Amino acid sequence: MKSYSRLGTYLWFIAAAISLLISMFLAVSYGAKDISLQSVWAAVFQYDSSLTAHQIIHELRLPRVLGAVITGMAFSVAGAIMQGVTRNPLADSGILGVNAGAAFSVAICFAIAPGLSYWGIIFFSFIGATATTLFIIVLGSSTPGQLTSLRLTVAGAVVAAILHSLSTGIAIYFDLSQDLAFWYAGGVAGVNWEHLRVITPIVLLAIFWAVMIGRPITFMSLGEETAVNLGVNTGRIRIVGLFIAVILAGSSVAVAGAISFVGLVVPHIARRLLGPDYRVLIPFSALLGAVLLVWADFASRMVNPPQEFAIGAMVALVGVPFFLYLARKEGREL
Amino acid sequence: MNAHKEILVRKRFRRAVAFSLIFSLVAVIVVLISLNTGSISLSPASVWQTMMGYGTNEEKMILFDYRLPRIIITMLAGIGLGVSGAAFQGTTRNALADPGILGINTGAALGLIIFVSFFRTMEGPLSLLIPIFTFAGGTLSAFIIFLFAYDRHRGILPIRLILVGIAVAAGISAVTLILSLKLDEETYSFAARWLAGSVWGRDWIHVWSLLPWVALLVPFIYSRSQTLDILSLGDEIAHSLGSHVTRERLLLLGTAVALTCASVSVAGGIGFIGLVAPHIAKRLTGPQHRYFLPVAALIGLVILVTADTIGRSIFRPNAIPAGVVVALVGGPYFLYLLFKSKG
Amino acid sequence: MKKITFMFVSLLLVAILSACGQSNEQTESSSSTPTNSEADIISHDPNAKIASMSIHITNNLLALGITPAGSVVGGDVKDFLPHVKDRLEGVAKFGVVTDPDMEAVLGLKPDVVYIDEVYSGQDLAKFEKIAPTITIDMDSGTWREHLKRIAEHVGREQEAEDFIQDYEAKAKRVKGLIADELGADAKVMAVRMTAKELRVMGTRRPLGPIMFEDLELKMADGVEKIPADEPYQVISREVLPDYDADAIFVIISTGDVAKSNYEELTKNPIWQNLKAVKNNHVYVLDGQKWLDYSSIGHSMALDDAEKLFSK
Repeated sequence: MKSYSRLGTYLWFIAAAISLLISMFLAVSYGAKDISLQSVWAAVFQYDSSLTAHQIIHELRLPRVLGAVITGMAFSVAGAIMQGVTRNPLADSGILGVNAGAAFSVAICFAIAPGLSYWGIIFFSFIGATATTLFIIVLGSSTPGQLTSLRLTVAGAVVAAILHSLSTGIAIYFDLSQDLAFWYAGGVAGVNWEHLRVITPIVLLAIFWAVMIGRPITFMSLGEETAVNLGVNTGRIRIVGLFIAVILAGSSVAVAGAISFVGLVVPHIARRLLGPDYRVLIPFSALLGAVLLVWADFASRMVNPPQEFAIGAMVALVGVPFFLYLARKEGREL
Repeated sequence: MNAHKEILVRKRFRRAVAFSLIFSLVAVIVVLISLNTGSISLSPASVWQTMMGYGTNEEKMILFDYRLPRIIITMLAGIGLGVSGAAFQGTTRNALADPGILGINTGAALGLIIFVSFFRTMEGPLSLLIPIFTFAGGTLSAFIIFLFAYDRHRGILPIRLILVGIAVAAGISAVTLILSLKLDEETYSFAARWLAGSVWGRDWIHVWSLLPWVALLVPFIYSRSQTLDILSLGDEIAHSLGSHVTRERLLLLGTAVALTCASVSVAGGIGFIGLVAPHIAKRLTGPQHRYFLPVAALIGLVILVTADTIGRSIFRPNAIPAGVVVALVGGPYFLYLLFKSKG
Repeated sequence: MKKITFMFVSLLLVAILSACGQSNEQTESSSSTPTNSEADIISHDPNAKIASMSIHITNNLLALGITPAGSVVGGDVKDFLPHVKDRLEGVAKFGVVTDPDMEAVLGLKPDVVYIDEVYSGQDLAKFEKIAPTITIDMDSGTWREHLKRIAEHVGREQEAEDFIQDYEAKAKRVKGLIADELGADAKVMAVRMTAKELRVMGTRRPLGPIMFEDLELKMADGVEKIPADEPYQVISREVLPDYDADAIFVIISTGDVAKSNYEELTKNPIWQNLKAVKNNHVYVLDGQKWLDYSSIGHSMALDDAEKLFSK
């Protein structure tokens, strides 16, 4: 096994933080309107609310980029936790149907109670995510024989397919199809400061909590028996871990739509670079996830301006080959 | 011993015939109900009279111009999906194989979106080309899936096949999404309905574009019942029985993909029928393809016609795509199968 | 085994052949019934039972004082367009034009059917089996031409002329009102907020002709650059200030998402800093009237503008 030195870890963290800053700066600097780098700099650090260019940066681009950062962190940490506590290398809130559950309950909200407040939507998003997770876990634990991670993945995908189909039905019946379709595809274009004020504390607290239980998660990811021998209350950690994952996925879905594959790809890369220690893995995944989504969002609006592509599609273009690679690799252990 | 076997065979044959008859009857009833669904109500008696050629001009138009083409399309697509699902399950030795879950439908959807983006129409003689486009898309996705799910030493690995199918489906729908967001609103809302599985064909031309595929490929698959029986026993036994395993499997897979794509092209991306129909049929008439294939075809027909009728009639004035109704029933069934099977 | 296969195939062949035979029979019967092509029916009784397969044809008929017996509905609202709904009470609904309920058309037993070449041209034969059918290409020609054309068929040419003259007079009046409010050289732009995007409306129909020809408003910077074959261009909010418009006409699409999108836009400092917004020259239009490229739609759009500017 490769050894992961402390120095190397620090260096990787510094590199990730720097590349996140650079990515954010680039994403803020370029857009439909040409704005010189100096005024970008000035807009961020000496904001003058009477200048249009400053307003564009401050009111349109910054919230959007910060939205990508926060949701990227949330999705990738959710994925990392799920992979750890379920010992399923293919776990991702999108693939396991958690995002679809959140999206489904938001669809119901749109249909039954239009004009619900932002907090209300986030709340229902949680409920949907939690219910789906519980359903999949209960389904899994009531199974005869061993619950393999692959079977759990397939079950999640099918639950997602059913929920997606139902959401479509609701959307068509209530004439929401266009509203919902775009939202399903995901996007951070509509994020504003108010959204950020709501979700940033939730996401950061949840990530902090996840780091706090990083040690037992690490033991669990090494194997149930090892964890029990080391005195970990596996049942409790599993429940707490999934709860955190659901909070993260639910709040992100409410802001940015159901973006899959971030939570799958990022933790794997992080694990390869820094090893299996979740106390390190979780914050590092958060940084990498933020970088990935900032770039995905940047790409989605720069490919064919002023039209914007769905950010979920952008991520899927990267995530799917990775998933195939993992599926092939993990498949050998079948 | 031989006598005993013969009795068994005869018993199976009788069961198969009995269930075929039962489901034919159910199919007739469902189709009749469906024929009665529409803005103008026609009594079963007048439907019958019109069929026999004694209806009024108006009744003839309602029946022959408006309702019949649509129902025939639904029936054909149901048959096609049921039989192709059975063929997928047989050739891949995977009880959970379903063209919808495997991502064949999504490939076909990509083909359709490309067609719409190019020709900007779904009607007229050009629509005869639609199955070819969907077939190309479906084949592409099938090719990628099998490429990734194939293991040199162990052949196609069942659960990996599904896993890869899910991923490929996600990837292809990403591309489809990118393309479909460029469509204008009207075409887009059509495409969205199509993806959710709504039977949209309503003209005879759509019947003609689907019929040849079903009429040729279903008998072909049926004629290979024995091969399917052997393939589903596993590669080793198949080899020892002298079957050209790989060639036969590819041939049957290609046929199943083609049949799926043709059905999907006029009926929309409907999943789960290819899963449920063969399973029920197998449970009723045993595992031999020559007995359960016809029953699977009939069950596929019954499910799709029923789902379409429910979707159109209960939720008026906004019709719900048949695919949504099917997923509501088929999805849980899939989960049941997944967790019932061991390992 | 082989026998079964053979039987199966031959059965199918029989089925195909019989189906083909049946369809042949059908085409024969349809060609043998006397078809009334458009040329045969230059005009018909204005009180005839009309089935209109285009919302715009319906509205042009209304402008001539004729209520059709049945009509398709708007695809967006899934109902008759809100601004003419009260005039269409009791009129049969045929569904959306892209997927019309043919049985409802047939059930109405109309005397004459009007179809739009663009949407229903391919189904002409089907309609002709129901009743004599008049085809109009609603994509070419102006609404004035459409109105006159329909007027010929129902024999109300004079009404059409009167309507157009009223319209021109009203346009002149509204133009004066707008000039009083905004000044003669004010540059304007029209934007539309939908659930997924913000659009700037170009010079093409539905909005271009009424704004820039009938009302002779000046275009804001960049509106003329929108390709002539596109009705609108999707823009990023970032470039809104570039248009430098003196007045902004806003259309909000139906649905809660579009509405909340607009509310959010108005809260944004970029919007609040626009010249037009600061000078209080933002006018939220009754969108359905303006987007309805028909005689009655345009006339009602002018009424809407008159109301907005005479305050």
